[in-house]
Amino acid sequence: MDNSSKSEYSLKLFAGGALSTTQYALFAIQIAVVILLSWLGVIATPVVGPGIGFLYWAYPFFIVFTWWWGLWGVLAAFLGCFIGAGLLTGLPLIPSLAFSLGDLVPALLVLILYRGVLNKLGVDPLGRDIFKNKLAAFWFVFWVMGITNIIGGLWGVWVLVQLGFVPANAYWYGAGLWILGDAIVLIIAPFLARALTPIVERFGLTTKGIIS
Amino acid sequence: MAERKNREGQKKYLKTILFSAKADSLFVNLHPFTKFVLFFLLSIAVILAMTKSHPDLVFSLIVFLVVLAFLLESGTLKYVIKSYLSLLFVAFIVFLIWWLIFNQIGNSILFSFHIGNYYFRITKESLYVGVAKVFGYAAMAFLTLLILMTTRDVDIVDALNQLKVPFKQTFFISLIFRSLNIMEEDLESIRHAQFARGGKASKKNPLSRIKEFLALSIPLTALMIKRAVEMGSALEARGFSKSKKLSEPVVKKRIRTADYVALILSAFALYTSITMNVTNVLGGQIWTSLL
Repeated sequence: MDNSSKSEYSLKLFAGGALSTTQYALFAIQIAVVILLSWLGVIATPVVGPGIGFLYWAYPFFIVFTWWWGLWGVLAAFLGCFIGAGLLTGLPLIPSLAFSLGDLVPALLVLILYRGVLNKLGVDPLGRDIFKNKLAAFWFVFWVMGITNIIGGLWGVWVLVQLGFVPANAYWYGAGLWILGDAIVLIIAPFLARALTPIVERFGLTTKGIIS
Repeated sequence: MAERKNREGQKKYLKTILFSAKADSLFVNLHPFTKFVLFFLLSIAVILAMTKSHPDLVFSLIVFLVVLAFLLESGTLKYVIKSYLSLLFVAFIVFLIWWLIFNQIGNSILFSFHIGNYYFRITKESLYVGVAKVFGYAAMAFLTLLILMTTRDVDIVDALNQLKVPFKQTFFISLIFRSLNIMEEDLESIRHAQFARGGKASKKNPLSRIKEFLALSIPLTALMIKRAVEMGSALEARGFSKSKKLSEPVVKKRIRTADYVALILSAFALYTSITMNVTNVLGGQIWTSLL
């Protein structure tokens, strides 16, 4: 990837002008995909604790969607968790809403770092160079699999403790399982980005700013 | 699923967000606003009941039984049993085990054991708290499923229209709900295609499962992009970017007496949960000692 295409992506709100109808449809469909995968992440993987599924398949998807589509990926992270991992699995309204912030915040932090900072340090804001660039690999492991994932896990299990779902004594155990499970599935993200980003770019579907 | 009709040509079942429900059910015909408020108030009421120092088992049990009755009335209980029972059963058991292991309270020991250097005891008090938590969680889980199994996506669009939400936002939300079924079918087709090519399922090792999922995820994302491009072209061909409003829904729901009754009862349930512990009022402390 050349430097000129890196500089196209930024934290401006509407860097790409008005949204096309295809992008409008795409953003709705990607939210549906994240909802579906979040639901599968809870019902088709081992339940290791109250409200804690071990392999949350939606996580790498919304990270890649955030790289590609900015705030729309963040919205998918939030709605995917709220509807797919929350409401559709029987978790009530308030716990689902509070618990979904555990996905919204990591996605938002990933967006800010990749579009705002790493872009200027020569790291691909769309995550294609994780296998080629040591700096990109470091930030992916440190920021995406590490810091943001830990924040999400600590928040999610804290909410479950506050709502009386998880005993307070089990907080660290629950958070540990949550963080470990998410870190494992996040291995998929660089593969997805490497394989599909050229297609998304070729169709002109990425957002240069965080909304368009 | 197609709408099923009886001999008189009336619809017996309606397609809802999850599965389908009886067309003439009282709960199905509640206004979406009513269902939302009821859902919100009862969720708070049950959370309050669960988080009391002496959790209110009777209150959670009553909500659970009422929800179960409406699942039966709306013809959706069979879907809960077929599709969710095993999942929920495992979740309830895990829930109970966590509360028994990580909530070592009380002195009236029923059972004790050692795991390595750790000593665990199950007491009357911890068993009561565990069971009360499970019933609270069950009440909320079944309530959420009841709402999703008795609400149609067109009801949500209709409600958003009544709230005067702009056309593009309303259409965006309806597109999300409609894409859910399409993408689920696409995911299923990809899985079947991979099985036909010798792909394996249900591996225990998480890394093998990730490899298997990676093989699914790339075609799924590619198909999602293809669908969006097709849908975008179809919308544009129908003048989407120029249109100002959605076509009127076929059935427009109004707030009726049943809606007011449901709202009053759910507000009363919340008031009860805030002001009293029904289990204690009915002598719950004595029941614990009878265990």
